[in-house]
Amino acid sequence: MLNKFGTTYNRLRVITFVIPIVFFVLICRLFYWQIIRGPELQTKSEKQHQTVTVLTAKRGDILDSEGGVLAGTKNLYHLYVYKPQMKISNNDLVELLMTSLTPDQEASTAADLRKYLQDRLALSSNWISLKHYLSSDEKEKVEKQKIVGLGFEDEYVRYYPEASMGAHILGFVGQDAAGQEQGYFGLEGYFDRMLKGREGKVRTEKDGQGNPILIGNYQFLHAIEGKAIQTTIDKKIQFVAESYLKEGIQKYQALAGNVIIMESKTGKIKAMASYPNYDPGKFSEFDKSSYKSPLMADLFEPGSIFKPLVMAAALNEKLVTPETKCDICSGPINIGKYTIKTWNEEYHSQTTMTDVIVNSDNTGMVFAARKLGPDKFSDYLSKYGLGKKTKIEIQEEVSGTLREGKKYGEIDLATNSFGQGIAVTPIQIITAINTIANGGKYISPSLIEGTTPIQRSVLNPEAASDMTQIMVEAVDRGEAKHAKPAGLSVAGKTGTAQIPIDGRYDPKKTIASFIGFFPSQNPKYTMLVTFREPQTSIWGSETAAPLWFAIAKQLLL
Amino acid sequence: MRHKDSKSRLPLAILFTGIILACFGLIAIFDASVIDAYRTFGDKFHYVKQQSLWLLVGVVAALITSAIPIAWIKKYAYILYGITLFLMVLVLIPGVGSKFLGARRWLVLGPIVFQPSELLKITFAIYLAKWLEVDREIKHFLTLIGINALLIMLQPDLGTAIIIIGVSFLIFYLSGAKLKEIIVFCAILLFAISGLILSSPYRMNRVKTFMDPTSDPLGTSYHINQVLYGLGSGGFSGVGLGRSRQKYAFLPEATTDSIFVIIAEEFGFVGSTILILVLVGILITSLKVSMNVTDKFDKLLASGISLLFLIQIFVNLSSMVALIPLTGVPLPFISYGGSSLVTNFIALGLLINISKRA
Repeated sequence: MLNKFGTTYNRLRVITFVIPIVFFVLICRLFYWQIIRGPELQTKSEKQHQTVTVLTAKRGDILDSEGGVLAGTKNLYHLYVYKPQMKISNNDLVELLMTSLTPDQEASTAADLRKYLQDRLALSSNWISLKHYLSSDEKEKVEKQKIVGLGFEDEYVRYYPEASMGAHILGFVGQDAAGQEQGYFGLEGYFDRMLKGREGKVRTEKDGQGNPILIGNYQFLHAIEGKAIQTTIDKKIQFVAESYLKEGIQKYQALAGNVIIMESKTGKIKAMASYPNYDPGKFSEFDKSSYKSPLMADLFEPGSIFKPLVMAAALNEKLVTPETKCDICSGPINIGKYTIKTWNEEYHSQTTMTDVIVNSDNTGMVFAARKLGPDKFSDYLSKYGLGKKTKIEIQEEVSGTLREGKKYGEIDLATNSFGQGIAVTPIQIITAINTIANGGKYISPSLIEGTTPIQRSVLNPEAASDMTQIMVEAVDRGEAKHAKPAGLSVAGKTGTAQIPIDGRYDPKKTIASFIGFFPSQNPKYTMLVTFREPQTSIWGSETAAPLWFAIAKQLLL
Repeated sequence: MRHKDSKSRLPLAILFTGIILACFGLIAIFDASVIDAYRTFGDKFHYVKQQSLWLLVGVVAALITSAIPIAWIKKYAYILYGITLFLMVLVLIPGVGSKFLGARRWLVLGPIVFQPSELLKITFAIYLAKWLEVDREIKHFLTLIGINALLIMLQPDLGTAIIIIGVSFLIFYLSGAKLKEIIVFCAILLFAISGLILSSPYRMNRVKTFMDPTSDPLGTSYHINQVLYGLGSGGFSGVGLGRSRQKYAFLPEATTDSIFVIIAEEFGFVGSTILILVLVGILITSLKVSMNVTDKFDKLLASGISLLFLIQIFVNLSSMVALIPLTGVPLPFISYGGSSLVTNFIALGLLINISKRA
């Protein structure tokens, strides 16, 4: 018999004492994992339980003013295989599929396609994506073969029925960094969120083998289709603008060219064309520099087509009348080290303001600008909407900058008066000139039917009417008059702006342009045509103006 | 009188705690096995039915062992141990012992499949209690341990080896071993463990993943990561009964060695702490039994049984909370497994038996 309180008893007491300490540590450790690290571990755990299937939303269509499709969405199919259900060998499956599928861009020959399918099937996962973008014909053929284990998913692909038509209006749909569909440039970029809709999601829980847990959580979120947008674009006019512009560029051997046609009273863009352009359906095959619309994203020195804006401002301020005579127009004007000359170095002493525009007289413009003075000059440009975005629904639009009145030097005011040393976008200048067409009322441009434009009065109707009359005379007495459609009264102005390169002007490189509206009374359309570096003639009157009239003729039909 | 009352109630309390834990185990097993049982056997209750049967066998076994005279058990200690050793050798023979997942641990006797190593836990504890009644030299003790460890590691079954060695060592310590001897033993143990780890890439990986559980989440550290995901998902109050996600084929050994994770996931920190406290309660109670008895054999046997529970519980739980490298040891009374459950109830029976002699 042992003493109850001997060595063993004492050592048992030690153990009994240690146990609570050991288990306290254990519980602390448990606390650490369950409470402190809990949320983090829970997230990781959920990640491995949950699978999310994305249901793509159909992208909204872009329509023309009459509801015709400019950018639509095709329903294609994604073919996949769930290997555990497959009852035939990989090779048999490939051969069966080869009879139904047609080679595409990714695998351009039958041999390529066969190898591609074999490589896909060789992958070790249970669920394998076999081929994207099957047409409904292909899908039907595959379905008729009744192969167990195959399945389809809807896939939506953007398509452009008119190929490159309106590329710079539409923009294109590419993929963002995360591989998600994303609209870039133009309307696709500007209205991306609206067109995109909201993708749906099916969230299910799966077990360690990837099979769904029947009693698990299940969430279903419907995809919401993107909204369609109806543009103001008139397909017929757009077609005319594009084909005539293309022809014009070839004829005058220009590097590039633009046409914008605006409904004068509403600011609605009926057509916009730019070359070179690209095919939004195959955007990746084109140079990235062609993606942005030059009409909104390129700033250029407008040259003489800017003159009516300055003259109209001077008329509006009653600082001049069409008959006011220029008293500084007898020869070149010297400002510091600069000399302001006329384009043909012919000078008309005591020339009237009407003749200043008709002859595109730079010195006369300096006279008008000096009457206005820097503050009012700057103020008017701002009212015309220059230096600000026009808020047209194009993603890549830029604003350019406008000099404040107090920062105008004498030479700046002088050169700006005839459109040099100031950079604007084509959409800005056409919107500004349209103010004159509209009896002095600025109206913001729009590509979307049903938008309420911003309106403000810039000129009084008399000044606008006087300016219109001067522009009519400029056309009727100008060099382009023979190209004008007979009987049509056009108010317009040519422009031949030298292109500044590294701060100097190259006399051989010009942007030739013509801007105007017709009929001059109660105008219907305001239009701008520009050519970059035309080779047959550098002059707007010999390139842009004839094209402008040719298009105008078409619009009258 | 009061003293006597509490003493007479103690055996019953021990048995009932064991049964309650086992019933809780049944719930957890049902929960963790429902999918597997349905898929494999077409019966959601397959594992629960099995375990319930074993529970019944266990309770009967406990009642029997609690009634057998201790003197008789002491008398036949050598024979009981001898039979177990024989079975331990038998299980290693291909064709006799059944191999499963690379380990030869099971003997199949008609419809009954059992693990001799589970039985060894009890018979060896009885044998040691008798053998250590007189002072023994450490070299003899080491030889004895060595033989047992060798037989177990031939299966191989590291978890059981750790339990047997740990329990033996603690009984040896309680029996009055000198401090010097204990230090020698510890040194040898450390040496042996390092050897075992270095000799096997599998164990090496276990240690590595213990040091850095995030190293290879789909490979070597998959199991411990799934364990921790389960604990973390449980949070404070758990996801609720039956709502474990880890049981869906993510967590290996969900019904056996890792069952604590399912409990922690469904009942949260609160539930798992309560379970731990109950387990600690049963440990302290059984240690009290051994403190109260005066006979050295009784005392050593009661301690041996208590320590058997202690080490199994400790190794299981600390594996689950990553205090030690993951070691496959069942959680007494809770984990699925007939041999383990019956053995634990036999141990309870012995404890009750001894408590009556205090």
